[in-house]
Amino acid sequence: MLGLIATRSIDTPVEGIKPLVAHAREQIENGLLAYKWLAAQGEAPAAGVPKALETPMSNLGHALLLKRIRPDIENATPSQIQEAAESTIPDVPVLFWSFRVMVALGFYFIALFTAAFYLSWRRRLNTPWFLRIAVISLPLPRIAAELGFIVAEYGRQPWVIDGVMPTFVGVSNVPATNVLLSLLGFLAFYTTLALVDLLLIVKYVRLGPEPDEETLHRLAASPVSAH
Amino acid sequence: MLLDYGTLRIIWWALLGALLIGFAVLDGFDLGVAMLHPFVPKNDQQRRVLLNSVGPVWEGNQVWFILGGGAAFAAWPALYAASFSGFYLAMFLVLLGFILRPVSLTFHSKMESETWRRSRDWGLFFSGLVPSLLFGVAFGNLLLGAPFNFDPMLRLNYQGDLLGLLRPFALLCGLVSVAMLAMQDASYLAMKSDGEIAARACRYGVTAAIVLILAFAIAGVWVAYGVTGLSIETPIDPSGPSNPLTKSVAAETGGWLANYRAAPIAAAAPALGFAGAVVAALALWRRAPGAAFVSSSFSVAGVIATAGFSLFPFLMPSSTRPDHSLAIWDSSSSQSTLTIMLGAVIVFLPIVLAYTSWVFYVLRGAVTEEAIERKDDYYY
Repeated sequence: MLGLIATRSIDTPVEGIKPLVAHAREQIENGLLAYKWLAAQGEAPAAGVPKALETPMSNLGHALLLKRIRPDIENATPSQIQEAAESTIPDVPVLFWSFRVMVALGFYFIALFTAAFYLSWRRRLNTPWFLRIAVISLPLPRIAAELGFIVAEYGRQPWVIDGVMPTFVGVSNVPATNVLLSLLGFLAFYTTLALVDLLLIVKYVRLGPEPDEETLHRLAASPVSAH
Repeated sequence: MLLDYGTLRIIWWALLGALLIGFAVLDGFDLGVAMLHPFVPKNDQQRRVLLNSVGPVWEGNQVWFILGGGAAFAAWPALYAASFSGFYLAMFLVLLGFILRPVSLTFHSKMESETWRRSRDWGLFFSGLVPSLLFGVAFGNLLLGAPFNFDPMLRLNYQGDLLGLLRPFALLCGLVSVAMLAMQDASYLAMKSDGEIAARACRYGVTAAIVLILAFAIAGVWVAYGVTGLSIETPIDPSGPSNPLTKSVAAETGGWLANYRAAPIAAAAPALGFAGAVVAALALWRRAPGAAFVSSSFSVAGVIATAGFSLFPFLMPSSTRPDHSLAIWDSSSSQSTLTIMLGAVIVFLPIVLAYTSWVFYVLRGAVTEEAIERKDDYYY
């Protein structure tokens, strides 16, 4: 992931992942120490954290990664710790391409708007080829935004808060049927809105744009109008 | 740190209340316009007067709801988590209402067809009624307690569902809320319109105020004799850590009235709720919408403050594990978060209030049918 952001080349991220897993493994082992100490506190907690546990305390979230493998994480075996460490590896190809396509689109937008700025300055904004490209480009910002979402949200997995709370720990206990119900509700609602929107867009496109001042002047200047 | 943790918690409790009141006073009349929409106007032109009475301001008003949610998120994260997860489907319906309302507003006049505009009108009605009702139902459920508890990792466990929220007392609170916001809007509408519409708005406003007074009184009696109130038994450390599992709680029927016995001055809130509604009803009866709007706003503030004062120091009581209830002493965010956020509020809230007042000053005066006819495209 770090190698990806540094964007060195296609093969470096794969190399960089191994030390990252080793580091994660260390953090999980550290976090387990803190977890075991906390679990031992029970009803009468100590006033402060012992000095030796201050660093492990900040790795508590990593210990929670083990909860997906077994609930009694204090008994985790070395191979299970390795498995948890490997679960921190993101889906590299998906992120690799999402990030690059997003950045490429960003550069494309800069180019598009430079062209728009230039044409506007030359008062040739209604050049047909440019208008055609502009219309085709309409969905691209949405695609770039979605790719950005994938990079940020999917790329952060398995964390909901990086290094603090794994996603599966952060899930609420709202029943899945309720979540499904709200999802279907929004889906139906927004689909209806999209259709209504389409209806209105078609109506206003048919009405056409209001004539600009130049056209009005020309019409006023011509002695006989067409109608 | 300038302020100690306990003081900051009280300030943020008061701020949350103030934001809710700000929301109800301002967005209340938007919700009300939507609710009264099928009843007050008699033709399309009059309907557009209603829409345009809130046209330029509803968006700003709605932000108070987001601000309230944001304040809960930042200052009372446990309350935010428990209420948003616990009232999940109710929150979904409120959101649906909030999305449907602007859509109905902006789409209303875009097509000429009669069915189009009728469907928009009923969309508006739904978008006003459902959130108004559910806000009241939510407050009713706070007083009744919601079925939640925490596991040892402080993860929230919620057992209720949507139908579980619709208990009789909660529905009565919903009625209080609907009547209150209808009164608020009728006063606003009477101020922002003239002739036939203003007269009809006054009539609906009087009815709404009377319903509010009756429902609020019945709710008061119910709280005294039929609702279990909580109090904290263990010693309270106002600056203690935010862990809701360290206290024990006593439950007693009528317990929510204990604060009024301890501090009789708190009774000013329900008194304001009643007095404001009575004065608003009289003012509407005498066709003095300005006075009606002011006293109606005071009534709204009084009713919401009553709920807050009764629950204090609780934010969200638990019905299944009262010991796990969220109180202001044990469910706030950290002291530095509260301090930084307070700084932001001190800087930005006056700015927001200033420009909001300025907007209302610029837009003062009635929206008339003639004005809409004159500049058809300009209006909703």
